[in-house]
Amino acid sequence: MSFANIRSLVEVAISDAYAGLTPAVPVVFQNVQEEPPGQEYVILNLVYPNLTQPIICPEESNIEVIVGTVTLVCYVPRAQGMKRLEELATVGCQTLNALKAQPDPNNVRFNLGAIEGPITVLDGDNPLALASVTAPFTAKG
Amino acid sequence: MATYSSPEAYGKALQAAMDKAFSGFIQETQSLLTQRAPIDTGRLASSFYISKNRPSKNVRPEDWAPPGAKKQVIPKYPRKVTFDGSWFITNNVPYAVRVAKDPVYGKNGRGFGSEWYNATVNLNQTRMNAALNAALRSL
Repeated sequence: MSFANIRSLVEVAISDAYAGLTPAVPVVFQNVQEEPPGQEYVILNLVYPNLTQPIICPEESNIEVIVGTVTLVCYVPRAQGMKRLEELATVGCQTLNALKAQPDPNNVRFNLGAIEGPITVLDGDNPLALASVTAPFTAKG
Repeated sequence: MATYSSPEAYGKALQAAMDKAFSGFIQETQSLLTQRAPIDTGRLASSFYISKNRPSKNVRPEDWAPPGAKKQVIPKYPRKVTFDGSWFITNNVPYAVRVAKDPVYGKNGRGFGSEWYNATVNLNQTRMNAALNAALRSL
């Protein structure tokens, strides 16, 4: 069980995908920085609500079944249309969905569940609009 | 394993077991959202309403509690939750979506930080399947 390996697989893929856009979009990882990097960026969050399932076995009580949630929150300047917001959300969904077949040096196996979103938040007086995509996943590694 | 005197008796037992499991799932979801939501006055955390067939329009009042009061009360659904129809858990506080979906505003979530909402609802299918499977095994 290695949370670092799972996180590494997701963070590297997401970072590379957004770096390949024109212009490149910075990705903010958890527990890295508090200040948003400009007007257009993506926040990547990973959490692990469940780690094991109980089994009947003489030596162990559980087997490892890591169930997590991955969320991408894409920010762009507000009142400039939906195009860029939906582009960023699409890149995130496609990248997460392709992780199952992504070659990984740590042999992490990553299966994404159904994606919820993009859910947009455009109201209020915040200068940034956001689109959120989130999905459960199971991983082993 | 229990035995049943007729198909109708089995049907009744099955319906009762599904109702009980689904009711538990719905109320557990409401409870998890309430206990994981960020809290200051408690208006957001106390405004998750259960309703059937259409979303609730209920919301706690703006003067629910003073800042920092953390007044948390789960709204009771007044009838029986049954395994039929469409069920909603609705929060009509004006900033609810922003706090659920924007990590900047939801970072004080109690359990999973800003992911308090996603981490709860993303596992709904898993939790519901587990509850219904357990009910079926109990028959």
